[in-house]
This record gives sequence, structure tokens and C-alpha cells, in this order.
Amino acid sequence: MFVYPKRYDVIVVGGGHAGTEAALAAARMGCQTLLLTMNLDTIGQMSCNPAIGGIAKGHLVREIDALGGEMARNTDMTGLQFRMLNTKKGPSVWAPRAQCDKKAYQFRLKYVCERQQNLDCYQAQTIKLLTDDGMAFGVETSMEIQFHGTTVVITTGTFLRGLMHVGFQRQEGGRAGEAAATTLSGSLHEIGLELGRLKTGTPPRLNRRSIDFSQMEIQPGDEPVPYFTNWQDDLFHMEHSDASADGAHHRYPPGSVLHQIRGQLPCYLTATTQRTAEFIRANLDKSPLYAGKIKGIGPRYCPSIEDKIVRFADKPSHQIFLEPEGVATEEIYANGFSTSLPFEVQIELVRTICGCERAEILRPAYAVEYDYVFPTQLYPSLETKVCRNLYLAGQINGTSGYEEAGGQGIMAGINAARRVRSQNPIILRRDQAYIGVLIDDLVTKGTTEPYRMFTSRAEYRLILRQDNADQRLAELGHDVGLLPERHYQQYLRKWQIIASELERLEHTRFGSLTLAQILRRPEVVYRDLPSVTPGLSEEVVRQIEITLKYAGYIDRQEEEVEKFRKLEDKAIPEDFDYVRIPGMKTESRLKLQQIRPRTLGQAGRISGVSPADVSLLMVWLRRNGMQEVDSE
Amino acid sequence: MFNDTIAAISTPLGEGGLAVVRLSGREAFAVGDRCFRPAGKSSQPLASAPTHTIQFGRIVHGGRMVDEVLVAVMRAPRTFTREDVAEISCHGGLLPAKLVLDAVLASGARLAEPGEFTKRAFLNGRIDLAQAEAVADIIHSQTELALAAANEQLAGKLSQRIHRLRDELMHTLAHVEAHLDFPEEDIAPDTREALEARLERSLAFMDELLATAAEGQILRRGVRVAIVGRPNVGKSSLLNQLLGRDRAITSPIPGTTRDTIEETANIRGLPVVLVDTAGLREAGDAIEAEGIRRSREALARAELVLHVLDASEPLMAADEAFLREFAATRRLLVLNKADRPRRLALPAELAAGAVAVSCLSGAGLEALKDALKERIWSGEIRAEMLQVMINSRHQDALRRARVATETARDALRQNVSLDLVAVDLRIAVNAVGEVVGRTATENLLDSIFGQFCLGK
Repeated sequence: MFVYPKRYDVIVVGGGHAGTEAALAAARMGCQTLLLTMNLDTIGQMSCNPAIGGIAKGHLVREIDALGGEMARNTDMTGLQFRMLNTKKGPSVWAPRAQCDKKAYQFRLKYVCERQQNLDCYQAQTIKLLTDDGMAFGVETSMEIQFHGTTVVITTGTFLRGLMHVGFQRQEGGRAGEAAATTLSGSLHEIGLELGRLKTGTPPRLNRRSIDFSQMEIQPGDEPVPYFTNWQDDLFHMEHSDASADGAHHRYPPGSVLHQIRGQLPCYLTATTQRTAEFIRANLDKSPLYAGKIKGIGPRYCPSIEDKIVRFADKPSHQIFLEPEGVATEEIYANGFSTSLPFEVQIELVRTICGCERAEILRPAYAVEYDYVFPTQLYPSLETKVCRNLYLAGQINGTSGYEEAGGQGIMAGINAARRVRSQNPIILRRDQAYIGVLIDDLVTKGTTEPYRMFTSRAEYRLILRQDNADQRLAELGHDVGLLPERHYQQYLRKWQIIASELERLEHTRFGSLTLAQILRRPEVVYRDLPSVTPGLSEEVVRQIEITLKYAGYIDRQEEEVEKFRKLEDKAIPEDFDYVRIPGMKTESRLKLQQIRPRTLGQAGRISGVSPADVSLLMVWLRRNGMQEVDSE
Repeated sequence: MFNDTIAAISTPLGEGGLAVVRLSGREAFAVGDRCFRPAGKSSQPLASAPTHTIQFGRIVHGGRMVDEVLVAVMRAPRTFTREDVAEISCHGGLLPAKLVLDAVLASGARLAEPGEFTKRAFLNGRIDLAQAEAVADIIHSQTELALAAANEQLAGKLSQRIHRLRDELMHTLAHVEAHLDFPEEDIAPDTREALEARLERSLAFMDELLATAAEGQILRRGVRVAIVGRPNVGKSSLLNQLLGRDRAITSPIPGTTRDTIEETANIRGLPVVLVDTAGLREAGDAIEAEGIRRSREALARAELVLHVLDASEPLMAADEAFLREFAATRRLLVLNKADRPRRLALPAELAAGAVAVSCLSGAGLEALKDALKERIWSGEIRAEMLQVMINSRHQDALRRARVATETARDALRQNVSLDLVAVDLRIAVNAVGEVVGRTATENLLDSIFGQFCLGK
């Protein structure tokens, strides 16, 4: 047994989307950080569709970015197609989405990690968590090396006892071609964490050259490109500054994938046919899902194609998106076509898709089952309740999606770093960020299917817009020491401009109306105003329009937030003993004891805890001198 | 510790000799004095009354006397809640207590939450830890009861309707959310027109429910029935018979009733506010003139007129004058003194709906009550209605839901974007959810996944 001589503040196990954000956040906050991964070449690998963003997920990425995370910038630099979704609807559901070059994404992220000050990357398989008296102090690898540190963040994704299914063929592994982490689960179980089993799937990858796109609807990217990052200046000026010598393609970030290929790649829309349905029905007995071989619970929002055909039998066809996996590969991702049918069935099955009559599969679709930790065993800081200084983030907590993983990763990184410095954890509220909604849902309600973010999960959608993520989180990101000063200054400048322009509009009259009143009319846009301030950026103009045009709705939602905050600001002491409340139903007491809600508001969201229980709890806290939660 | 003054009916609802409306809070006496008029020389306003004394007087609301009451004044801290407490004892039964509560709420008190008095008692240190278990029980049983009341006790039609309303709103919201969260899926959520039609249906549904609430209003407020007729046909005797006790002074001297008398009678389960009018004839003196003026006023507000005729005498000019005057009014002819030989002759069309009674013997009174009920209330009176309607929280929630639904519908019409429409729809779902104890986000995703084939 060898103990690595350097002692770390934060040890991150796993180099996926949660792990990289956690490691980068901790390192950027000044902690000596170690990132352990089974394979350095798969840092930031996109196991499923190489796409970032979309409705609600795009919001998460914007928030990660506003806090000082890497996902947005990495997407902007490696995306091959960018779109803003939902623009025909209101501002709260606009969402950026990008199709990325899979390899470019992971290699850039690897490079960022390698160059990050305070961060060491090391390739090793972690097999065991080291704990002492309910406190984590390090990990051990399969090569019998021990790394010691103050805090440990585990982000193992689908690798915990991963089991892949293609038909009835089963193979251990976290991702096609990669080994599973088989022993770490046991280690987690040993310290007292309860594990469950989830399932997810991925569709086949097809060879572009075997597809007839002529019958399909083409989906081009948006121009100008709707980038993810709030700090676009960086894209164009900071990174790869030497690349700007090539003046011809200034409109794309120097060194980016778009810059290399000088334009965006399209995606294609096609559909299944009657033959698809018939073929699936004829082969249903070969599906491990239908034969009951897969025990894990799959997501309802991302069903396999056999699920769709069976559950919605009268639908004649289902749409399939064909999306490129990269600029230097012919691999095409068949979005909407995930299946666990055997390979020999898949070969014929993909050929029933319109335009895929001669399609060749490069990689078969498969389903993967994996262990996850019931997330109600975590505090909202993402620290486990049973083991101090141990944090979990990402798919291990029952979520699905890179963005959900990244959002947890950055928070776990921030909170592990704060623990090192003996600071209080940062907990985002439901009215503050989608990340707050995500973590609160996980630790309060738990999940029994892979949890994906939807805007309908957020009560205060109108306030949690992708366009104001910086307004909601930049200050916090800066305060915790993650968001760089120059970004913070940019943010301050931008909102100052917005504030003073709003002020001008409210006080400048045109005839009997103020400019603000004119702009509030639905048909008027900023440019139509009789007097405009020249040189305002698009995002500033848009912010001004949203603030004025949706003021009524936003105010109404703010009122709802006020009501919500009343209970949310009532703290429950961490060591509160629910046994002290006589007369509380045992079932409620057990739930409360297990979840240990931080506030009365959170207590009320636990399933099975009734309004009467909350009322009772409130009475008790009040009697014993209730404290207000400090605002951080 | 608490800034507001709370009030609630503290005795079990139902028929009883007495009912108590309790007020607690720092403004308890000020609020009480806004609707309490001390009567008699030993009574005084609550604010100046010594602690632990009883004051006699009347509760007034909107210029009308509601009930004669006794008010116990108890100053903090020697009270149940350790706050200033006024306990108003009024006549028993649902109606007087409800009317007094309405008066108190209109004077600035807030309706107490279930168990709130006990909660305050506990929080203000009135109840010690040993009694805490009891507090828990009370909070539990009351809150749970409130829920149970919504869910089970009213398992009748009404509760089902509220559930159906919530399901329908939820369904609409799910369609809106599907548009927002899954724009790229080839699912086909309802079009704006279809969503609007759904909301119209929900609105109609709410109106129906709120109309029941309006019926409930009648149940609470009472129906005003004026008793008219020429002097000495037995108007006051009829009033007494309907009330079942002597309230008006009856005497054979015409014009004895100098003032308008209002009393609430329980007739076939309906609260009927009976208004006995002073003889509507030319005034002999100033006092009578005032009486007549008030009678006219009372008549103007009446929803039904009981015209009393003396069956033992022929139709007089004064009778005919009344018949003409109320020809166009909803009225019921009462032929009193049916115990005597009949000398009254009426045209057939008038005689048809008339009811013969004898206030002396009580004969025909039951038939009169039936006829009265028939005229006032066409439908059946169910206890369920009363139970629901007394819960003003439900009504309030439904009204808020209606406003929000309307806003959402208007927004749909004006082509406002769906994420904004959803803001109000959620408010509506949550408001209706308050009645059945559920929030909007709870089953929203289930509803979405249940309806659409998702999975890009």
C-alpha cells in the first residue's frame, strides 16, 4: 500500500460532467484538488447524444456558467450546430441547444483540466472510499494507491455496477467499451448508503454515408450563433488569442469547431413507418425490457422505441432526429430510437426508418443499468448524511443528463471547498435557480426514475430565465471565489447599463407617454422607440424589453415567491430532535428524521408530511425561538 | 407576538341554545366595539369594560341588528390565549353565530385557522409542555379534519365536482406545459382554441359551484319576507306563530305595532327574515309617520310579501289598496282568522294561491310554511350545501381560481405566449388545490407523461 505524498483538499472521483465541474470549481476556489478518472481520454465524454442544452437543460448550463463553471464555454468552443429553441414562445422558455463535436468536447475539457491551476488529474480506478468514524479522508485505487484528502466528491455516473444490455446479451460496463466500477458500490453500501437501480438507454449510431437525407427535413443552426456563455468576450478575445491572425472568420470564436469548419452542420428530421411498428411487435419477445430482464427503472420522458410503439399504439409514426456526432466522423446519432432489442433485430429495424432503408449501424443501441444512491440521503449541500466530508454529484444521485450532472458537480465542488475552509454550504433556492430546484427535488423528494429537468418543475419559471442567469447567480459565484473578477465586473457593467436605460425610458416623455409606456405595448420593440440609446447590445435590449413587457406577470410571480419565502426562511436546527414533538405521527416523524429538512418550506415538500405536521413543527420551533435562515 | 386579531365560532355548529364567537388578539376589543352596541345602563363598550365582566348589547352589521348578545370581556394575560379575548354569546344555531361572525370579520378580524386559538395559547406560554401532546392532537385533528371535510365528509356531489374541476384545470395545464417543455416532439397538445374551450368549460363549472355558493348566501343571510295588510288583520300574530314565540306585541287596537320588527325564523330549514310592518295607513302622529316610513323601506327590500287578509270580514277598500299595490310583487295571500265564519270573497285567480290559517289555533300554519318555502326556494335544501358554504375559505379559493382562469383565458385570446398563460393557470390549479389539499407541481409531470408520447 502506497500513500500518495500530496494531501488534497478535495478529491473528485470521476471525470464526467459532474466531476469536471466539481474539480474545476474547487481548484478555481483555491483548493488543492485531485481529479481521478478511469481513463483520462474520456474526460467529459458524452456517452449519449453529444448535445448540450435544450429546454430547462439550457437554463442549467447558463446557470453553471454564471457561477463560473466550464460547460457553457466548452460547448461554445466545440459545438457544430447551435439553436435557440422555443423562440415563438415567451422569454422564460427560450432555451439554447447545441450539437457538439463529441471528441472536441472531451479533449478541450481535458485540456482545460490539465491546465487548471491547483488541479491534478490522475488516471486510476477508485475501488474504495476511506473513512474513519463517519468521516471520509480519501480513496484507494485498484493499484493499491491511497490518496488522502479533506473532502471526497464521488461522481461515477452510470459506472457503478454498470450492466449493459443488447437484447439478451449482457455485459458489465459503464459505457460501451468501458469497464464498470464494480467494487465502489460495496464501499458506499458499507458506510451505510442505500443503493437503488436505474436504467437508461442509447440509440444506435449510423454511418452517414448509408443514409438518404433527401427525404428528410433539414434543420440548420441559427445565425447569429446563440452561444451559451454569459462571457462571450472571452470566446473571442481570451482563448487562443494567436488564432485571430486568420481574419476571415471572425464571426466564430477563434479555435472553435465552427471556426474550423467555417459554418454550422445541420441536423435532419425523419420518422418511423408502419413497418417499424409491425417489426417491433413481431420481435417484442426479444426485448429484455419486455421479458422482464431489466430490473432498473427507465425514464418516462425518454422511452425506448418499443415502449413508444406499445404504449401509443395508434400513433402511425414517431419522429427521429439524425444528428452528427462530430465534424471528423461519419457517425450519426439516431435521436428518438433508443432500444434494447438484439443487434440482429436492430439491423433491420433502423432500415424501417424513412430515408434509412440502406442504413448501416456503426454501434448498436443498448440499455444500461446502474446503481444509484437514493438522493434523500444527502443534505442540500450534496454531502451525505451518513458520512461527513463525502459529497455525491451527478448520475449517481439518480439524475440523467450532462447538464443536471454539471449543475450538481459545480455545487458539490463549491461546497466541498467551503467545507475545507469551514464555511457554510451554499444552497440555491427554488426561486433562485434551476440548480436549486434540481437539488431540492432530489434531496427532498428523491427519485425513482432518472431525473431530468423540465421547466414545469420550477414554480417560478418566469423569474428563472436563461437570459437572467447572471443576474441571479454571478454575484454569488464571485462571492464564493469562483467567478473571476473580470466577469463579475462585466456583469456589473451590463446591469448598470440596463438599469440606467430603464431609468431613462421611465423618465423620458414622448407626447403624453413615457418611452417605457410605449415599449410596454405588445407590438412595439425597442428599436421602434422615438429615441434609442445607440450601441446597446442585443442582450441588453432584450433584457429591457422583457423587464418592461412582462412586468405584470413578473410582479405576480414575485408575489408568489414572497409567500414561498415565508416558510423557506424558517430554519430548522440541524440537530432538531423530532422525537421531542409528542403527538406527531410516527410516519411523518420518520420521514422528517430521515430527510432532516433545512427549513419549514422544505419540510412541507416531503411526500407524506402533511400540512398539519408542518404546522406542528412550526409551533414547536416558534416556542423555542425560531431562527431565520441567513441569506447565504 | 401576533399582530392580527382572529375570530371563529367556538361552539359546535348546529342547533343549540347558545353559540359563542371568540375574538382574540391585541385589537380584540377595538374590533368588537366596531359591531357591538352596548344596551342597558350597566353595559359599556368593550374597550372600557373591566376585565372578566359581561356586557349586554347588540351586534350590528351594515346598519342592521344581527342579534342580541352577551359579551365576556377578558383582558390579557389571564385568558385562554394570553391575549385580549372577547367571547360573544349569541343565540344558538348556525345562523345567528354565522351572522355575528360575519359582523366581526367585517369589523377587522381575520378568520382563525383551524386550531389557531390553541396554537396561540401554546405559543404565548399559556399551555405548558405537559399539555403539548394535546396541542398536537388538536392541530392534527383540526387540520386533518379540514382536509377530511373537503375530501370525505363532503363526499357528495360537491366534492366530486371540485375534484373534477381540478383535474380539468390540471389537464389543461399539462397541455400548456407540453407545448413549453417539448416543442420538438411530434406530440399534438391542444390548440389555443381547444385550450380556450377547455377553460371556458372550467369557468362555467366554477360559476356553477359559485352559484351554489350564492344559494348558500341565501341560506346564511336569510330571505326577507315582509308581512303586510291593513291594520288588525293579525300580522303580528302571524309573525309570532311563525317564530314560535311572542316577539311582537299583539293587541286588538289598530296601530299597536309602531315600528318595523325583524326576526329570523327557521322555516323548513330556510332562514327567513320576517319583517312585520307598521300599519301602512295615513299617519296620525309623528311617531306613526316614522313607523310608516320605515315600513315602506323594509318593503322595498323584501323578496316576498305575505299579504294578510281577515277571512272573517268582507274585502275592504284598504285590502283592495294592498292587493293593487303588490299586484306585481312576489306575494302570498294569507287568509287569517279561518277559525271564524268566512265572509271574505276573493276573485278566483287570487283565491287559488291563498292559504287559510288561524293564528289563534295554529291551523293551516304548516301548509303556510310549505307554501312559503315553495315560493322562496325551488330546489332541495341539503345539509351538504350548508357545510360547504359556511367554509368561506373554499369560496375564497374558488373565486381566486376563477379570476386566474379568466386571466389565462383572456391571455389565450390575446395570443399571449403560453409560458405567461401558465402563470395564471398554475395559480388557478393551486387555488382549487387548496380546497382538496394539493399543489400544482405534484402531479403535473404525471399528467404530462400520461397524455403524450414523449421521447426525442
